[in-house]
Amino acid sequence: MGPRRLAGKHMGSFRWGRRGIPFSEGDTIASALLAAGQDVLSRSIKYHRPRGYACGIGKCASCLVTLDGKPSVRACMTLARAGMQAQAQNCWPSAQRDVYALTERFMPADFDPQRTLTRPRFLIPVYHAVVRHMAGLGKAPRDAAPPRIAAVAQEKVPLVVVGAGPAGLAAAVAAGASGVEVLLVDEAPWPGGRLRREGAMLRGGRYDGRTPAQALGTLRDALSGSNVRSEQEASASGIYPGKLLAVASPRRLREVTAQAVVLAPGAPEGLSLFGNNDRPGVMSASAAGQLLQHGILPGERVVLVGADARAVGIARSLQQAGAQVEAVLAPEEAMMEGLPRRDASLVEVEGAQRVRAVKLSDGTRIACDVVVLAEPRRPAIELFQQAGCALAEQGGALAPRCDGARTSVPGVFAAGDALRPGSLEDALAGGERAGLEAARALGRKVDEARLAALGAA
Amino acid sequence: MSKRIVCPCEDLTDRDIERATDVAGLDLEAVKRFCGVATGPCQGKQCLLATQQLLRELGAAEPGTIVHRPPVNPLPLGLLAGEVER
Repeated sequence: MGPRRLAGKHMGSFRWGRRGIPFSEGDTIASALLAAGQDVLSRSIKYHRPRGYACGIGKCASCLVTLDGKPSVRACMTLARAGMQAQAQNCWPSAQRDVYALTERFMPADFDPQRTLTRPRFLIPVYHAVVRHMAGLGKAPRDAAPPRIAAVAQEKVPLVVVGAGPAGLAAAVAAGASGVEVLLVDEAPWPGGRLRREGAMLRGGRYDGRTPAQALGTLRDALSGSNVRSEQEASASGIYPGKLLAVASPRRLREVTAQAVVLAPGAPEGLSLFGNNDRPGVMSASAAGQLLQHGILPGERVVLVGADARAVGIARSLQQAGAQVEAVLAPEEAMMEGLPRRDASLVEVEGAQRVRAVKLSDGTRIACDVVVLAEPRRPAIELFQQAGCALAEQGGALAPRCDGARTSVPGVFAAGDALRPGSLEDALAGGERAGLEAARALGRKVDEARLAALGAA
Repeated sequence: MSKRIVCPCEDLTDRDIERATDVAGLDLEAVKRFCGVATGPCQGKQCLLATQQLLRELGAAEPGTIVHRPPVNPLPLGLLAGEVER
């Protein structure tokens, strides 16, 4: 039961507490831990609940670890290197067995220490000391020297593209081919976003009949030798007035002033509400896809939640990798192409340390070791909001209000899932459209017929 | 009864959110200030949809959203406060 390594070239090992953890080429700290049978990567801040590999793309706090003395490093976004020392946070003696977890049984589901622990009043300082000892994230090093960083540099670039997923890559390629100098930034250690995580063949558009990996290869080939500068581990931290972006790289912070910006930050999955929805083994479809990319099967027996083409694609990828799909929870009308669909919702996950089974709203119980959530997805509106773009509700979530790829702010364009969560094909086409519209806004001549065709799509 | 976690960063359940609305009303920004939802390391990336959905179920017509301040993604503090190389 649980995750299993399918493939990978052994590269070395790092330490997790006192244990040696082997890792393979391309592994992150989190993926290597999972493949080595460490389901519990951290303990939660108050209840010390076990937490595991949950989002896979650096958008949650479930895999924060102390790495070489630095607290709260995202293990799923950090490539493993030989000799590293990783340590679980907020637990004793280990994340897998944490004695503080015993306290959860005395804490109800709305336990608030500041409200509950107030009598007698003279004991309040003692309560505070105990609560602070038991709660929190990692501990900052006491006497470490300040890290050496480069001075903040200023830079001017005609077009900045944020996010190197399908939409961002397609936007950068299209704008670059139109003669625009582009800076493409992405916070992951690798480019590709969804193109690396999903396995279903592309249908329609410029990449018809290709796998996502092939489409990624084509886009990267188009970038090499073009006037697109592409940077990984470069996070657009904020947008300030005048299209000034703060870009954070491992050892330097930059202020990049752009004439135009294409934002393609994607739409990560949000949480669904059911009992024990945070149990290790409950993960987003992004996380399941990312694990497959690392050569790791997330589990042997899968229950998947999701009703769209992306959910079907993830289910197929898991099947092809050798997992048994026990059930796909989707309404009657969803097209599930022969998958075991069930018109029910999740009530509760069973299993103290990790997923063992799920209970459904129709009363059935299904044994499984991984629950994959392909929905709901939430457009990453953070940068749009900072740029001042108008937002509108769309399918229960906020997204930038757009005309084509144009947001309400001149020179700020939107592409991909952040504009509207959809298929890979949509993201690729939307990215190309945003790249061409940005190039046109910067005074370049673009292929108007192509743009019209993309606008109609 | 097992817990339903709305905000994993701050360990808040659906009951915590409901209780916060007793005081804060059905506005997301006010609920955030009262119980701390969306103020943990992920800054709302996991919990906002579920919180908005809960507020709608409790009767909010438009729960709204929060103000997303920089940094959008976590930064090492040393990048802001480290020693500049000359």
